[in-house]
Amino acid sequence: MDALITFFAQNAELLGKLVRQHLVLSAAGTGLGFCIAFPMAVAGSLLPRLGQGFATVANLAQTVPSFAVLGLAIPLLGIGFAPALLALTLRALLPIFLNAYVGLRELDPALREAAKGIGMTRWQSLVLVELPLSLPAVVGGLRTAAVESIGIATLAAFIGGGGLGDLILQGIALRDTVRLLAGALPAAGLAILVELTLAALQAYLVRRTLRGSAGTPAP
Amino acid sequence: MSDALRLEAVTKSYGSTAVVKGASFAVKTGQFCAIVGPSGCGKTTTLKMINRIIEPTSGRIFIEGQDAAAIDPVQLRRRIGYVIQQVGLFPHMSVEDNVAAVLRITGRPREERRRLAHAMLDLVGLPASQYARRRPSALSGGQQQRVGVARALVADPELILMDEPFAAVDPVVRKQLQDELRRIQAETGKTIVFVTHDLPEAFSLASHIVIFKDGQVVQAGGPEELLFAPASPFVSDYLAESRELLGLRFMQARGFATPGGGGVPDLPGDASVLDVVQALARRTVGDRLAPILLGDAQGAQTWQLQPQDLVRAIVGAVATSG
Amino acid sequence: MDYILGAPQVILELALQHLAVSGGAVLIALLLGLPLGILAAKVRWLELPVLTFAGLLYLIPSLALFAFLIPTLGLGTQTAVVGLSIYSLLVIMRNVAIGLGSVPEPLREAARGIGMTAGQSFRLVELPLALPLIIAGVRIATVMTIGIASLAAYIGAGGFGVLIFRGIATADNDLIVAGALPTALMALACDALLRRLERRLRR
Repeated sequence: MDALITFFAQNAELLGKLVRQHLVLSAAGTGLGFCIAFPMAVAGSLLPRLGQGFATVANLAQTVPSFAVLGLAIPLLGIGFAPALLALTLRALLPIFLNAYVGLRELDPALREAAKGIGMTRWQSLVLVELPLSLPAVVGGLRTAAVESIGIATLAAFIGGGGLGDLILQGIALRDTVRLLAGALPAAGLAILVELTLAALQAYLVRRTLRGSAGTPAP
Repeated sequence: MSDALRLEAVTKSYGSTAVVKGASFAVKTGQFCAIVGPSGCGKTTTLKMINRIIEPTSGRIFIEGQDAAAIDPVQLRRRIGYVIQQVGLFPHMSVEDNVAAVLRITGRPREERRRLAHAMLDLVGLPASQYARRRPSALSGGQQQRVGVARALVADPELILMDEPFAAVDPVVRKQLQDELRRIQAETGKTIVFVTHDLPEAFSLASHIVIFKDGQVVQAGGPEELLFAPASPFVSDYLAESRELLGLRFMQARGFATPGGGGVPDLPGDASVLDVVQALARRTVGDRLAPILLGDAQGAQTWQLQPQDLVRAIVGAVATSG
Repeated sequence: MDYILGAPQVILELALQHLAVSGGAVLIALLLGLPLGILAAKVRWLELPVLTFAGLLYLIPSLALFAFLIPTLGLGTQTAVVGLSIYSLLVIMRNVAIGLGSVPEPLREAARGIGMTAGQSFRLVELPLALPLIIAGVRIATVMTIGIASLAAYIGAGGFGVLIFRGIATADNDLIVAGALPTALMALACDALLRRLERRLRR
């Protein structure tokens, strides 16, 4: 334990750099994944057949080990940040897409009918009714994707993508327990931190969306 | 052309099965029209074709003389109020915002939206000062449907469609909502088309009733017409259950009374047989056989009804309904 | 592709290793997760702490989890199996607890009403009804484990990951595909198999 603290104190700069790399990679992967998967989910909810197709592909893609995705990105983009980002983005697609898609699809059909019935256009119904109500589900997908990204970003070290995985790999290679844990502990901490933060955001959104259920009871 | 709504040979088919087959009927401006029929008869499909939630396979629908197919469906729906059984209030919006939603999407200024929404809430018996800021989930089922009705009324539509709006609430609340709707319709003079499988509800609210069976209109007309001149054995059988009671409600008691008599009338001159039966039931047992006096408040014209003549009326009503 | 076709012997050997590591991990998780899940479902106040703790473990990145185990367990198959079973444990435990919790109260009451003991009610009514959800948990855990097991090659547990690592090290795409493709196929096959079992139980 003391050795670990000494290591952190002596390598604060290196650690800071690796944490930064780790976070940038995870955030970029999740963000890029969101920019692709969210429009896909919206399109899928507008065109059910397309949505079905997307969902099938997404489920199949999930069985490919993330580690293999990382390896397969090398021939396309070489080694370093770019292939790691590609792999992370691909992995982020599924949870974000599925959560948003299911969230949109499982809304009470009466709401969509009411929106249509009072004369909302398809777009108005989406923006004013369906998206606000599925927001907690969308954030839920983002949460899963972000936590997974932190995990996969650890593997980026295998292909020269940097991050806290560097220390773990060095630790394994050098049989250096301190170095091993100096990478593993912050990585685990980051994952837990991201999970707790986004879980809190999701809970807040659920409360805000359906505030009335906890509000004034019916007389 | 005083038809608010006219259907001409409207048909809806899914594949080879026709759900609605050549339905034609008209609803006059200001009329309260109920569409009734056994479940699966096509009444809800018919209603949803009026605001093009469902597109007809063939036939034409006219709203105020205009062919609905020629109007952009979104614009059409903004002209027509719509209330559904599941209510469909938006859970993330306040009651006020739910009511004002139609005004919001048509770009009315905020102040006007607020004013109109509050007026509508007051009209449906939910004082805006108390309910406007609440969320729908904080309301009871009956209150939610009142909001649903307010939402349908707020844009001052030419026509209001209601799909079994009170089917999901308990009988006591349903009765209240029916009374409110009757009052609101009388106050606003709106044309309402109302789908229900509840015959007493249809007879207590509607001035015009359309009966569906297997996707076809089997009879359309006033309540008395359907009761006393059923067009087919089906209509007769279908109405039979509630017929005795309904018959009494639509039969004027003075038809069985003799003109004359003096004093303060017990009931107005146009009281129904049912009114008389209910009035008699309120009397003490010993008094029940005393004659009942019908007449207007001034006592200018009165009729005297003997209870034994009332029995004759009831027997007659039940006999003709067999 | 050439590699797979050219060295069927190697592929078969790696497949068996991969299956052994994954299967062992899921089996251990099932043996631990079933009683723990039942406990969580039966002793209500235990549910939250048990599931929260398992949930936190589940969040730890796989490489970091292996790293935590290496100082005590060293490099090798045992570390891989233990690490993988920790992930599966949460999924299985949670599904057991949810499955048992979702048995309708009236059914439990009816079981007691016709004179079943608590044990009989559990064995004859609750467990059979919860079984599809439990199998679903095993299925999800299996697919996940097969995927992460490819990483276990790095800590000396063998399996298809060996080819992926060698491929990354030598920049040989053919080798990477030769490792990734069978892993995905194995995951899909297990998914299909357990799905079928699940459906049969639901009927």
